Amino acid sequence: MTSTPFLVVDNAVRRFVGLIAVDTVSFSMERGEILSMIGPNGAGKTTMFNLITGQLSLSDGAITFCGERIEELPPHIRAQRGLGRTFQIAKPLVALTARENVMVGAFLHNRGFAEAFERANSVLAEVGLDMRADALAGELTLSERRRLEIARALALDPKLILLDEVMAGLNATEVTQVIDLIQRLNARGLTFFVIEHNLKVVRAVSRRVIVLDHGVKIAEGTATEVLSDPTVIKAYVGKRAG
Amino acid sequence: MTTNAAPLAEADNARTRPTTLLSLVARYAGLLMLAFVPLIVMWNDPYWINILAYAYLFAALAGAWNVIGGFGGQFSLGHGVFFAIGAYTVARFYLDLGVTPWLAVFPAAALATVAAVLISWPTFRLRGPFFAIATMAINEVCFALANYTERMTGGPRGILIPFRAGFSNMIFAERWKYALLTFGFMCIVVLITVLLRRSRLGHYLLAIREDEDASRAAGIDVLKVKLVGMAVSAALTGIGGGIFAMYVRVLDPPTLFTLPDIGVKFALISLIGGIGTIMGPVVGALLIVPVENFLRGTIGGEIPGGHLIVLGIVFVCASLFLKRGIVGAFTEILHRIRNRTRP
Repeated sequence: MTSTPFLVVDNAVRRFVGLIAVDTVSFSMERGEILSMIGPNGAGKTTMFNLITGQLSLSDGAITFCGERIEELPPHIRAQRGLGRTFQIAKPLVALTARENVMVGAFLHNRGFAEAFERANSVLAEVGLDMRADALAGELTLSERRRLEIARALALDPKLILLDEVMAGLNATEVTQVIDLIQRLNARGLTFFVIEHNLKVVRAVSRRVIVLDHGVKIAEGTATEVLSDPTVIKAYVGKRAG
Repeated sequence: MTTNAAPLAEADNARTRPTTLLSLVARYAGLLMLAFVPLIVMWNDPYWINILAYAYLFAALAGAWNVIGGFGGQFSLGHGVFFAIGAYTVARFYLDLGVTPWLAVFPAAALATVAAVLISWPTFRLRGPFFAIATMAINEVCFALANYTERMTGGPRGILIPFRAGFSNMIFAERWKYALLTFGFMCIVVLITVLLRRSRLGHYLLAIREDEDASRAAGIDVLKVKLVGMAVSAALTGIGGGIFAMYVRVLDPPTLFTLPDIGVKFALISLIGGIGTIMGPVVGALLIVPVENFLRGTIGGEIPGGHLIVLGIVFVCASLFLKRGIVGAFTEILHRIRNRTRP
Protein backbone atom coordinates (compact mmCIF):
# COMPACT_ATOMS: atom_id res chain seq x y z
CA MET A 1 0.00 0.00 0.00
CA THR A 2 3.02 2.33 0.07
CA SER A 3 3.38 2.59 -3.73
CA THR A 4 2.70 5.95 -5.42
CA PRO A 5 -0.94 6.87 -4.90
CA PHE A 6 -3.07 6.52 -8.03
CA LEU A 7 -6.33 8.00 -6.83
CA VAL A 8 -6.70 9.55 -3.40
CA VAL A 9 -10.02 10.80 -2.14
CA ASP A 10 -9.36 12.84 0.98
CA ASN A 11 -12.24 13.75 3.30
CA ALA A 12 -14.67 14.27 0.45
CA VAL A 13 -17.87 16.04 1.42
CA ARG A 14 -20.85 16.85 -0.76
CA ARG A 15 -23.78 18.71 0.71
CA PHE A 16 -27.11 19.18 -0.97
CA VAL A 17 -29.81 21.36 0.56
CA GLY A 18 -30.82 19.58 3.74
CA LEU A 19 -28.75 16.50 3.01
CA ILE A 20 -25.15 15.39 3.20
CA ALA A 21 -24.86 12.93 0.33
CA VAL A 22 -21.18 12.18 0.89
CA ASP A 23 -19.85 12.75 4.40
CA THR A 24 -16.05 13.02 4.84
CA VAL A 25 -15.18 9.92 2.85
CA SER A 26 -11.53 9.02 2.35
CA PHE A 27 -10.02 6.15 0.44
CA SER A 28 -7.31 5.52 -2.10
CA MET A 29 -6.76 3.28 -5.09
CA GLU A 30 -3.70 1.65 -6.54
CA ARG A 31 -2.91 1.48 -10.21
CA GLY A 32 -4.11 -1.77 -11.75
CA GLU A 33 -6.63 -2.78 -9.11
CA ILE A 34 -10.37 -3.28 -9.29
CA LEU A 35 -12.08 -1.54 -6.41
CA SER A 36 -15.77 -2.06 -5.79
CA MET A 37 -18.12 0.25 -3.95
CA ILE A 38 -21.30 -1.16 -2.51
CA GLY A 39 -24.05 0.18 -0.32
CA PRO A 40 -27.83 0.45 -0.09
CA ASN A 41 -29.77 2.67 -2.48
CA GLY A 42 -29.21 6.34 -1.71
CA ALA A 43 -25.93 5.66 0.08
CA GLY A 44 -24.12 8.24 -2.07
CA LYS A 45 -22.29 5.91 -4.44
CA THR A 46 -23.22 7.67 -7.66
CA THR A 47 -22.63 11.04 -6.00
CA MET A 48 -19.12 9.80 -5.12
CA PHE A 49 -18.58 8.90 -8.79
CA ASN A 50 -19.84 12.30 -9.92
CA LEU A 51 -17.43 13.98 -7.52
CA ILE A 52 -14.50 12.05 -8.94
CA THR A 53 -15.37 12.65 -12.60
CA GLY A 54 -16.48 16.25 -12.02
CA GLN A 55 -20.19 16.07 -12.85
CA LEU A 56 -20.61 17.41 -9.32
CA SER A 57 -18.19 19.59 -7.36
CA LEU A 58 -16.96 18.88 -3.87
CA SER A 59 -18.30 20.88 -0.94
CA ASP A 60 -15.11 20.09 0.96
CA GLY A 61 -12.09 17.82 0.72
CA ALA A 62 -9.65 16.95 -2.04
CA ILE A 63 -9.21 14.44 -4.85
CA THR A 64 -5.76 13.62 -6.22
CA PHE A 65 -5.38 11.63 -9.41
CA CYS A 66 -1.89 10.52 -10.49
CA GLY A 67 -0.34 13.15 -8.27
CA GLU A 68 -2.51 16.00 -9.52
CA ARG A 69 -5.26 17.75 -7.59
CA ILE A 70 -8.33 17.44 -9.81
CA GLU A 71 -11.28 18.54 -7.68
CA GLU A 72 -11.38 21.99 -9.30
CA LEU A 73 -11.09 20.75 -12.90
CA PRO A 74 -14.16 20.63 -15.16
CA PRO A 75 -15.37 17.15 -16.17
CA HIS A 76 -14.01 17.24 -19.74
CA ILE A 77 -10.51 18.05 -18.49
CA ARG A 78 -10.71 15.16 -16.02
CA ALA A 79 -11.71 12.90 -18.91
CA GLN A 80 -8.67 14.16 -20.82
CA ARG A 81 -6.50 13.37 -17.79
CA GLY A 82 -7.58 9.73 -18.02
CA LEU A 83 -10.87 9.33 -16.17
CA GLY A 84 -13.45 7.38 -18.16
CA ARG A 85 -16.90 6.59 -16.86
CA THR A 86 -20.27 5.04 -17.60
CA PHE A 87 -23.57 6.37 -16.33
CA GLN A 88 -26.03 4.49 -14.15
CA ILE A 89 -28.72 5.26 -16.68
CA ALA A 90 -26.85 4.53 -19.90
CA LYS A 91 -26.50 7.60 -22.10
CA PRO A 92 -26.18 6.24 -25.62
CA LEU A 93 -26.13 8.95 -28.30
CA VAL A 94 -29.23 7.39 -29.82
CA ALA A 95 -29.26 9.08 -33.23
CA LEU A 96 -25.66 7.99 -33.91
CA THR A 97 -24.49 4.54 -34.88
CA ALA A 98 -22.67 2.40 -32.35
CA ARG A 99 -19.41 3.12 -34.13
CA GLU A 100 -20.01 6.86 -34.12
CA ASN A 101 -20.71 6.70 -30.39
CA VAL A 102 -17.31 5.17 -29.84
CA MET A 103 -15.64 7.54 -32.31
CA VAL A 104 -16.83 10.45 -30.16
CA GLY A 105 -14.55 9.02 -27.48
CA ALA A 106 -11.80 8.03 -29.91
CA PHE A 107 -11.51 11.58 -31.29
CA LEU A 108 -9.94 12.62 -27.99
CA HIS A 109 -6.60 11.14 -28.99
CA ASN A 110 -7.14 10.67 -32.75
CA ARG A 111 -7.67 13.84 -34.75
CA GLY A 112 -8.38 12.28 -38.14
CA PHE A 113 -11.52 10.49 -39.24
CA ALA A 114 -9.74 7.33 -40.42
CA GLU A 115 -7.76 6.94 -37.17
CA ALA A 116 -10.83 7.47 -35.01
CA PHE A 117 -12.76 5.04 -37.20
CA GLU A 118 -10.09 2.35 -36.82
CA ARG A 119 -9.78 2.92 -33.10
CA ALA A 120 -13.56 2.67 -32.70
CA ASN A 121 -13.62 -0.58 -34.67
CA SER A 122 -11.03 -2.21 -32.46
CA VAL A 123 -12.77 -1.05 -29.27
CA LEU A 124 -16.11 -2.35 -30.57
CA ALA A 125 -14.48 -5.69 -31.28
CA GLU A 126 -13.08 -5.69 -27.76
CA VAL A 127 -16.53 -5.35 -26.18
CA GLY A 128 -18.15 -7.73 -28.69
CA LEU A 129 -20.17 -5.11 -30.54
CA ASP A 130 -18.35 -5.24 -33.88
CA MET A 131 -21.36 -6.86 -35.55
CA ARG A 132 -23.52 -3.97 -34.41
CA ALA A 133 -21.18 -1.15 -35.44
CA ASP A 134 -23.59 0.29 -38.00
CA ALA A 135 -26.73 -0.08 -35.90
CA LEU A 136 -28.13 3.08 -34.36
CA ALA A 137 -27.43 3.22 -30.65
CA GLY A 138 -31.15 3.67 -30.08
CA GLU A 139 -31.76 0.22 -31.57
CA LEU A 140 -29.38 -1.62 -29.26
CA THR A 141 -30.54 -3.93 -26.50
CA LEU A 142 -29.91 -3.03 -22.86
CA SER A 143 -26.88 -5.28 -22.68
CA GLU A 144 -25.48 -3.81 -25.89
CA ARG A 145 -26.05 -0.28 -24.62
CA ARG A 146 -24.12 -1.08 -21.46
CA ARG A 147 -21.21 -2.43 -23.46
CA LEU A 148 -21.42 0.60 -25.75
CA GLU A 149 -21.02 2.85 -22.69
CA ILE A 150 -17.93 0.92 -21.71
CA ALA A 151 -16.64 1.13 -25.28
CA ARG A 152 -17.06 4.91 -25.44
CA ALA A 153 -15.15 5.25 -22.20
CA LEU A 154 -12.46 2.80 -23.37
CA ALA A 155 -11.94 4.78 -26.57
CA LEU A 156 -10.62 7.63 -24.42
CA ASP A 157 -7.63 5.45 -23.52
CA PRO A 158 -8.31 6.15 -19.85
CA LYS A 159 -6.14 5.22 -16.89
CA LEU A 160 -9.17 4.60 -14.68
CA ILE A 161 -12.69 3.60 -15.63
CA LEU A 162 -15.61 4.13 -13.30
CA LEU A 163 -18.46 1.69 -13.97
CA ASP A 164 -21.80 2.66 -12.46
CA GLU A 165 -23.94 -0.48 -12.15
CA VAL A 166 -23.17 -1.79 -15.61
CA MET A 167 -24.63 -5.18 -14.70
CA ALA A 168 -28.07 -3.91 -13.68
CA GLY A 169 -30.79 -5.57 -15.72
CA LEU A 170 -28.48 -8.03 -17.48
CA ASN A 171 -29.10 -11.77 -17.49
CA ALA A 172 -26.59 -14.30 -16.17
CA THR A 173 -24.89 -14.90 -19.53
CA GLU A 174 -24.53 -11.19 -20.18
CA VAL A 175 -23.16 -10.63 -16.68
CA THR A 176 -20.50 -13.27 -17.31
CA GLN A 177 -19.59 -11.57 -20.58
CA VAL A 178 -19.09 -8.23 -18.88
CA ILE A 179 -17.10 -9.78 -16.02
CA ASP A 180 -14.84 -11.41 -18.62
CA LEU A 181 -14.42 -8.06 -20.34
CA ILE A 182 -13.49 -6.27 -17.12
CA GLN A 183 -10.99 -8.97 -16.17
CA ARG A 184 -9.45 -9.01 -19.63
CA LEU A 185 -8.98 -5.23 -19.63
CA ASN A 186 -7.69 -5.29 -16.08
CA ALA A 187 -5.12 -7.90 -17.02
CA ARG A 188 -3.81 -5.37 -19.51
CA GLY A 189 -3.32 -2.82 -16.76
CA LEU A 190 -6.55 -0.82 -16.75
CA THR A 191 -7.77 0.22 -13.30
CA PHE A 192 -11.47 -0.09 -12.44
CA PHE A 193 -13.69 1.49 -9.85
CA VAL A 194 -17.03 -0.28 -9.85
CA ILE A 195 -20.40 0.41 -8.28
CA GLU A 196 -22.22 -2.91 -8.10
CA HIS A 197 -25.24 -4.34 -6.40
CA ASN A 198 -24.66 -7.90 -7.52
CA LEU A 199 -22.47 -9.33 -4.75
CA LYS A 200 -21.45 -12.31 -6.87
CA VAL A 201 -19.92 -9.87 -9.33
CA VAL A 202 -18.24 -7.99 -6.50
CA ARG A 203 -16.65 -11.21 -5.24
CA ALA A 204 -15.64 -12.22 -8.75
CA VAL A 205 -13.90 -9.06 -9.86
CA SER A 206 -12.59 -7.12 -6.89
CA ARG A 207 -9.92 -7.70 -4.33
CA ARG A 208 -10.98 -4.70 -2.33
CA VAL A 209 -14.40 -3.32 -1.48
CA ILE A 210 -15.58 -0.15 0.23
CA VAL A 211 -19.05 0.21 1.68
CA LEU A 212 -21.04 3.43 1.88
CA ASP A 213 -24.15 3.96 3.95
CA HIS A 214 -25.91 7.32 4.30
CA GLY A 215 -22.88 8.99 2.72
CA VAL A 216 -20.44 7.54 5.26
CA LYS A 217 -17.80 4.91 4.56
CA ILE A 218 -18.70 2.15 7.01
CA ALA A 219 -16.30 -0.59 5.91
CA GLU A 220 -13.30 -1.31 3.74
CA GLY A 221 -11.49 -4.56 3.06
CA THR A 222 -11.54 -7.70 0.96
CA ALA A 223 -14.89 -8.83 -0.41
CA THR A 224 -15.12 -11.68 2.13
CA GLU A 225 -14.19 -9.48 5.09
CA VAL A 226 -16.60 -6.76 4.18
CA LEU A 227 -19.52 -9.02 3.38
CA SER A 228 -19.28 -10.72 6.78
CA ASP A 229 -18.91 -7.41 8.65
CA PRO A 230 -21.90 -6.98 11.03
CA THR A 231 -22.14 -3.23 10.30
CA VAL A 232 -22.44 -3.94 6.59
CA ILE A 233 -25.04 -6.65 7.12
CA LYS A 234 -26.99 -4.26 9.33
CA ALA A 235 -26.89 -1.53 6.69
CA TYR A 236 -28.17 -3.91 4.05
CA VAL A 237 -30.80 -6.00 5.83
CA GLY A 238 -31.50 -3.97 8.93
CA LYS A 239 -31.25 -5.16 12.53
CA ARG A 240 -31.42 -8.86 13.24
CA ALA A 241 -34.69 -9.64 14.96
CA GLY A 242 -34.45 -10.51 18.65
CA MET B 1 -29.64 -15.29 -30.33
CA THR B 2 -26.48 -13.52 -29.28
CA THR B 3 -25.39 -10.52 -31.26
CA ASN B 4 -21.84 -11.62 -31.86
CA ALA B 5 -22.63 -14.76 -33.82
CA ALA B 6 -19.64 -15.70 -35.93
CA PRO B 7 -21.20 -16.59 -39.35
CA LEU B 8 -22.08 -12.96 -40.05
CA ALA B 9 -18.47 -11.88 -39.86
CA GLU B 10 -17.72 -12.44 -43.54
CA ALA B 11 -20.73 -10.49 -44.78
CA ASP B 12 -19.92 -7.50 -42.62
CA ASN B 13 -16.26 -7.28 -43.44
CA ALA B 14 -16.82 -4.70 -46.14
CA ARG B 15 -18.44 -2.32 -43.70
CA THR B 16 -15.51 -2.12 -41.33
CA ARG B 17 -13.68 0.04 -43.83
CA PRO B 18 -14.68 3.71 -43.86
CA THR B 19 -16.28 5.27 -46.93
CA THR B 20 -13.55 7.32 -48.54
CA LEU B 21 -14.00 11.05 -48.62
CA LEU B 22 -13.80 11.03 -52.40
CA SER B 23 -16.68 8.62 -52.86
CA LEU B 24 -18.69 10.53 -50.28
CA VAL B 25 -18.12 13.83 -52.09
CA ALA B 26 -18.98 12.11 -55.39
CA ARG B 27 -22.26 10.88 -53.93
CA TYR B 28 -23.30 14.36 -52.85
CA ALA B 29 -22.05 15.89 -56.09
CA GLY B 30 -24.46 13.54 -57.87
CA LEU B 31 -27.35 14.70 -55.70
CA LEU B 32 -26.40 18.34 -56.30
CA MET B 33 -26.40 17.68 -60.05
CA LEU B 34 -30.05 16.65 -59.67
CA ALA B 35 -30.73 19.99 -58.00
CA PHE B 36 -29.01 21.65 -60.96
CA VAL B 37 -31.46 20.18 -63.50
CA PRO B 38 -34.23 22.77 -62.94
CA LEU B 39 -31.70 25.54 -63.60
CA ILE B 40 -30.88 24.05 -67.01
CA VAL B 41 -34.54 23.56 -67.84
CA MET B 42 -35.80 26.96 -66.75
CA TRP B 43 -32.79 29.21 -67.31
CA ASN B 44 -34.73 31.47 -69.67
CA ASP B 45 -37.93 31.71 -67.63
CA PRO B 46 -37.51 34.85 -65.47
CA TYR B 47 -40.35 34.00 -63.08
CA TRP B 48 -39.14 30.51 -62.21
CA ILE B 49 -35.44 31.29 -62.34
CA ASN B 50 -36.04 33.97 -59.72
CA ILE B 51 -37.72 31.45 -57.43
CA LEU B 52 -34.93 28.98 -58.09
CA ALA B 53 -32.23 31.50 -57.20
CA TYR B 54 -34.04 32.11 -53.90
CA ALA B 55 -34.43 28.39 -53.30
CA TYR B 56 -30.70 27.73 -53.76
CA LEU B 57 -29.78 30.68 -51.56
CA PHE B 58 -32.14 29.58 -48.81
CA ALA B 59 -30.91 26.01 -49.15
CA ALA B 60 -27.42 27.31 -48.43
CA LEU B 61 -28.63 29.50 -45.56
CA ALA B 62 -30.65 26.67 -44.02
CA GLY B 63 -27.56 24.47 -44.46
CA ALA B 64 -25.55 27.06 -42.56
CA TRP B 65 -28.17 27.14 -39.81
CA ASN B 66 -28.18 23.34 -39.76
CA VAL B 67 -24.53 23.29 -38.60
CA ILE B 68 -25.45 24.57 -35.15
CA GLY B 69 -29.23 24.09 -35.21
CA GLY B 70 -29.24 20.57 -36.64
CA PHE B 71 -25.89 19.00 -35.82
CA GLY B 72 -25.33 20.96 -32.61
CA GLY B 73 -28.99 20.85 -31.58
CA GLN B 74 -28.98 24.55 -30.62
CA PHE B 75 -32.27 25.78 -32.03
CA SER B 76 -31.28 29.34 -32.88
CA LEU B 77 -33.98 31.67 -34.16
CA GLY B 78 -31.56 34.59 -34.23
CA HIS B 79 -29.67 33.81 -37.40
CA GLY B 80 -31.37 36.81 -39.00
CA VAL B 81 -28.80 38.89 -37.11
CA PHE B 82 -25.84 37.22 -38.85
CA PHE B 83 -27.71 37.39 -42.14
CA ALA B 84 -28.30 41.13 -41.74
CA ILE B 85 -24.72 41.79 -40.61
CA GLY B 86 -23.51 40.04 -43.74
CA ALA B 87 -25.87 42.02 -45.96
CA TYR B 88 -25.04 45.41 -44.42
CA THR B 89 -21.30 44.71 -44.39
CA VAL B 90 -21.17 43.80 -48.07
CA ALA B 91 -23.34 46.79 -48.98
CA ARG B 92 -21.20 49.23 -46.96
CA PHE B 93 -17.90 47.85 -48.24
CA TYR B 94 -19.19 47.98 -51.79
CA LEU B 95 -20.81 51.44 -51.63
CA ASP B 96 -18.40 53.29 -49.33
CA LEU B 97 -15.06 51.64 -50.04
CA GLY B 98 -15.62 50.28 -53.53
CA VAL B 99 -14.68 46.78 -52.46
CA THR B 100 -16.02 44.08 -54.78
CA PRO B 101 -18.70 41.94 -53.10
CA TRP B 102 -16.63 38.85 -53.96
CA LEU B 103 -14.09 40.02 -51.38
CA ALA B 104 -16.50 41.88 -49.11
CA VAL B 105 -18.13 38.57 -48.12
CA PHE B 106 -15.00 37.82 -46.06
CA PRO B 107 -15.29 40.76 -43.65
CA ALA B 108 -19.03 40.00 -43.67
CA ALA B 109 -18.30 36.45 -42.49
CA ALA B 110 -15.81 37.73 -39.92
CA LEU B 111 -18.19 40.28 -38.43
CA ALA B 112 -21.01 37.74 -38.33
CA THR B 113 -18.67 35.38 -36.46
CA VAL B 114 -17.78 38.05 -33.90
CA ALA B 115 -21.47 38.78 -33.37
CA ALA B 116 -22.18 35.07 -33.06
CA VAL B 117 -19.63 34.60 -30.29
CA LEU B 118 -20.86 37.69 -28.44
CA ILE B 119 -24.48 36.54 -28.65
CA SER B 120 -23.82 32.89 -27.94
CA TRP B 121 -21.54 33.18 -24.95
CA PRO B 122 -24.36 34.20 -22.59
CA THR B 123 -27.23 32.42 -24.37
CA PHE B 124 -25.56 28.99 -24.54
CA ARG B 125 -26.19 28.72 -20.82
CA LEU B 126 -29.85 28.32 -21.73
CA ARG B 127 -31.19 25.05 -23.00
CA GLY B 128 -33.87 23.99 -25.46
CA PRO B 129 -36.79 26.39 -25.87
CA PHE B 130 -35.17 29.00 -23.63
CA PHE B 131 -32.22 29.28 -25.98
CA ALA B 132 -34.59 29.59 -28.95
CA ILE B 133 -36.60 32.34 -27.23
CA ALA B 134 -33.46 34.24 -26.20
CA THR B 135 -32.03 34.22 -29.71
CA MET B 136 -35.40 35.28 -31.10
CA ALA B 137 -35.42 38.21 -28.67
CA ILE B 138 -31.91 39.21 -29.76
CA ASN B 139 -33.12 39.21 -33.37
CA GLU B 140 -35.91 41.63 -32.43
CA VAL B 141 -33.52 43.88 -30.50
CA CYS B 142 -31.22 44.06 -33.52
CA PHE B 143 -34.25 44.77 -35.72
CA ALA B 144 -35.02 47.82 -33.59
CA LEU B 145 -31.36 48.89 -33.48
CA ALA B 146 -31.12 48.70 -37.27
CA ASN B 147 -33.95 51.22 -37.50
CA TYR B 148 -32.01 53.69 -35.34
CA THR B 149 -28.43 53.31 -36.57
CA GLU B 150 -29.19 55.30 -39.68
CA ARG B 151 -25.56 55.96 -40.66
CA MET B 152 -24.87 52.26 -40.88
CA THR B 153 -28.12 50.78 -42.10
CA GLY B 154 -29.92 53.72 -43.67
CA GLY B 155 -32.56 53.37 -40.97
CA PRO B 156 -36.11 52.47 -41.97
CA ARG B 157 -35.54 53.77 -45.48
CA GLY B 158 -32.76 51.25 -45.94
CA ILE B 159 -29.85 51.08 -48.34
CA LEU B 160 -30.30 51.13 -52.08
CA ILE B 161 -27.55 49.57 -54.17
CA PRO B 162 -27.67 51.07 -57.67
CA PHE B 163 -27.96 48.71 -60.60
CA ARG B 164 -24.56 48.59 -62.30
CA ALA B 165 -24.29 45.24 -63.99
CA GLY B 166 -20.87 43.64 -64.06
CA PHE B 167 -19.14 40.56 -62.77
CA SER B 168 -16.93 42.41 -60.30
CA ASN B 169 -20.02 44.16 -58.87
CA MET B 170 -21.83 40.81 -58.45
CA ILE B 171 -24.76 42.44 -60.23
CA PHE B 172 -26.16 40.74 -63.29
CA ALA B 173 -28.71 41.68 -65.92
CA GLU B 174 -29.54 38.01 -66.55
CA ARG B 175 -31.37 36.30 -63.72
CA TRP B 176 -29.89 32.87 -64.43
CA LYS B 177 -26.48 34.17 -63.43
CA TYR B 178 -27.82 34.85 -59.95
CA ALA B 179 -29.22 31.34 -59.86
CA LEU B 180 -25.81 30.01 -60.86
CA LEU B 181 -24.19 32.09 -58.11
CA THR B 182 -26.55 30.90 -55.38
CA PHE B 183 -26.26 27.32 -56.67
CA GLY B 184 -22.47 27.58 -56.31
CA PHE B 185 -22.82 28.92 -52.78
CA MET B 186 -25.19 26.08 -51.94
CA CYS B 187 -22.61 23.55 -53.23
CA ILE B 188 -19.93 25.12 -51.04
CA VAL B 189 -22.19 24.87 -47.98
CA VAL B 190 -23.02 21.23 -48.77
CA LEU B 191 -19.32 20.42 -49.21
CA ILE B 192 -18.48 22.07 -45.88
CA THR B 193 -21.29 20.09 -44.23
CA VAL B 194 -19.99 16.82 -45.69
CA LEU B 195 -16.51 17.55 -44.35
CA LEU B 196 -17.93 18.65 -41.02
CA ARG B 197 -20.06 15.53 -40.63
CA ARG B 198 -16.92 13.40 -40.81
CA SER B 199 -14.74 15.66 -38.69
CA ARG B 200 -14.06 15.68 -35.01
CA LEU B 201 -16.06 18.93 -34.67
CA GLY B 202 -19.04 17.32 -36.42
CA HIS B 203 -19.00 14.28 -34.14
CA TYR B 204 -18.64 16.51 -31.09
CA LEU B 205 -21.58 18.70 -32.15
CA LEU B 206 -23.76 15.62 -32.63
CA ALA B 207 -22.67 14.22 -29.27
CA ILE B 208 -23.58 17.50 -27.56
CA ARG B 209 -26.98 17.50 -29.23
CA GLU B 210 -27.62 13.98 -27.96
CA ASP B 211 -26.32 14.31 -24.40
CA GLU B 212 -24.21 17.04 -22.84
CA ASP B 213 -23.22 15.05 -19.76
CA ALA B 214 -22.08 12.09 -21.82
CA SER B 215 -20.15 14.53 -24.04
CA ARG B 216 -18.30 16.02 -21.08
CA ALA B 217 -17.47 12.55 -19.85
CA ALA B 218 -15.98 11.89 -23.30
CA GLY B 219 -13.60 14.81 -22.84
CA ILE B 220 -15.57 17.36 -24.88
CA ASP B 221 -15.40 21.03 -23.94
CA VAL B 222 -19.11 21.59 -24.53
CA LEU B 223 -19.17 25.40 -24.51
CA LYS B 224 -16.14 25.70 -26.79
CA VAL B 225 -17.50 23.22 -29.34
CA LYS B 226 -20.88 24.99 -29.38
CA LEU B 227 -19.14 28.33 -29.93
CA VAL B 228 -17.03 26.99 -32.80
CA GLY B 229 -20.13 25.41 -34.37
CA MET B 230 -22.02 28.67 -34.01
CA ALA B 231 -19.07 30.58 -35.53
CA VAL B 232 -18.99 28.33 -38.62
CA SER B 233 -22.75 28.63 -38.95
CA ALA B 234 -22.75 32.42 -38.56
CA ALA B 235 -19.85 32.92 -40.98
CA LEU B 236 -21.69 31.04 -43.74
CA THR B 237 -24.92 32.88 -42.90
CA GLY B 238 -23.06 36.20 -43.18
CA ILE B 239 -21.77 35.28 -46.63
CA GLY B 240 -25.32 34.31 -47.63
CA GLY B 241 -26.55 37.67 -46.38
CA GLY B 242 -23.94 39.40 -48.55
CA ILE B 243 -25.06 37.53 -51.65
CA PHE B 244 -28.67 38.32 -50.80
CA ALA B 245 -27.76 42.02 -50.56
CA MET B 246 -26.35 42.09 -54.08
CA TYR B 247 -29.34 40.15 -55.35
CA VAL B 248 -32.19 42.26 -53.95
CA ARG B 249 -30.19 45.54 -53.80
CA VAL B 250 -32.73 47.05 -51.42
CA LEU B 251 -31.88 46.50 -47.79
CA ASP B 252 -34.26 47.70 -45.15
CA PRO B 253 -34.69 46.21 -41.66
CA PRO B 254 -37.96 44.35 -42.36
CA THR B 255 -36.37 42.58 -45.33
CA LEU B 256 -33.46 41.35 -43.21
CA PHE B 257 -34.98 40.80 -39.77
CA THR B 258 -38.60 39.68 -40.26
CA LEU B 259 -38.67 36.40 -38.37
CA PRO B 260 -41.04 34.32 -40.56
CA ASP B 261 -39.12 35.36 -43.68
CA ILE B 262 -35.56 34.98 -42.41
CA GLY B 263 -34.56 33.71 -38.95
CA VAL B 264 -37.37 31.23 -38.47
CA LYS B 265 -37.41 30.19 -42.11
CA PHE B 266 -33.88 28.78 -41.95
CA ALA B 267 -35.03 26.52 -39.14
CA LEU B 268 -38.30 25.57 -40.84
CA ILE B 269 -36.62 24.64 -44.12
CA SER B 270 -34.22 22.38 -42.21
CA LEU B 271 -37.10 20.93 -40.23
CA ILE B 272 -39.08 20.00 -43.35
CA GLY B 273 -36.09 18.69 -45.28
CA GLY B 274 -34.48 16.86 -42.40
CA ILE B 275 -32.83 18.52 -39.44
CA GLY B 276 -29.25 17.41 -38.85
CA THR B 277 -28.95 15.75 -42.25
CA ILE B 278 -26.65 16.95 -45.03
CA MET B 279 -29.18 17.18 -47.85
CA GLY B 280 -32.17 18.12 -45.67
CA PRO B 281 -31.82 21.89 -46.11
CA VAL B 282 -31.45 21.50 -49.89
CA VAL B 283 -34.54 19.29 -50.19
CA GLY B 284 -36.48 21.53 -47.81
CA ALA B 285 -35.65 24.74 -49.64
CA LEU B 286 -36.33 23.34 -53.12
CA LEU B 287 -39.74 22.30 -51.86
CA ILE B 288 -40.76 25.14 -49.54
CA VAL B 289 -39.61 28.16 -51.53
CA PRO B 290 -41.57 27.31 -54.73
CA VAL B 291 -44.61 26.09 -52.76
CA GLU B 292 -44.63 29.29 -50.72
CA ASN B 293 -44.46 31.36 -53.91
CA PHE B 294 -47.23 29.33 -55.49
CA LEU B 295 -49.47 29.67 -52.43
CA ARG B 296 -48.77 33.39 -52.19
CA GLY B 297 -49.90 33.76 -55.80
CA THR B 298 -53.04 31.63 -55.54
CA ILE B 299 -54.51 31.61 -52.02
CA GLY B 300 -52.69 34.78 -50.96
CA GLY B 301 -54.29 36.52 -53.94
CA GLU B 302 -57.79 35.56 -52.82
CA ILE B 303 -57.45 35.95 -49.05
CA PRO B 304 -54.60 38.22 -47.90
CA GLY B 305 -52.26 36.14 -45.71
CA GLY B 306 -54.09 32.95 -46.61
CA HIS B 307 -50.88 31.33 -47.86
CA LEU B 308 -49.37 31.74 -44.40
CA ILE B 309 -52.23 29.75 -42.89
CA VAL B 310 -51.70 26.88 -45.33
CA LEU B 311 -47.94 27.04 -44.82
CA GLY B 312 -48.44 27.02 -41.06
CA ILE B 313 -50.57 23.87 -41.31
CA VAL B 314 -47.88 22.23 -43.46
CA PHE B 315 -45.25 23.02 -40.83
CA VAL B 316 -47.38 21.73 -37.97
CA CYS B 317 -48.05 18.48 -39.83
CA ALA B 318 -44.38 18.11 -40.70
CA SER B 319 -43.27 18.57 -37.11
CA LEU B 320 -45.91 16.08 -35.95
CA PHE B 321 -45.45 13.34 -38.52
CA LEU B 322 -42.06 13.93 -40.13
CA LYS B 323 -39.88 14.41 -37.08
CA ARG B 324 -36.67 13.92 -39.00
CA GLY B 325 -37.89 15.53 -42.17
CA ILE B 326 -38.10 14.19 -45.68
CA VAL B 327 -34.47 13.08 -45.78
CA GLY B 328 -34.79 11.52 -42.32
CA ALA B 329 -37.86 9.51 -43.36
CA PHE B 330 -36.13 8.44 -46.55
CA THR B 331 -32.96 7.21 -44.81
CA GLU B 332 -35.06 5.40 -42.24
CA ILE B 333 -36.78 3.44 -45.01
CA LEU B 334 -33.38 2.63 -46.53
CA HIS B 335 -32.10 1.55 -43.11
CA ARG B 336 -35.11 -0.75 -42.61
CA ILE B 337 -34.65 -2.37 -46.02
CA ARG B 338 -30.95 -2.90 -45.39
CA ASN B 339 -31.62 -4.43 -41.98
CA ARG B 340 -34.34 -6.73 -43.31
CA THR B 341 -31.75 -8.60 -45.35
CA ARG B 342 -30.05 -9.52 -42.07
CA PRO B 343 -31.40 -12.23 -39.74
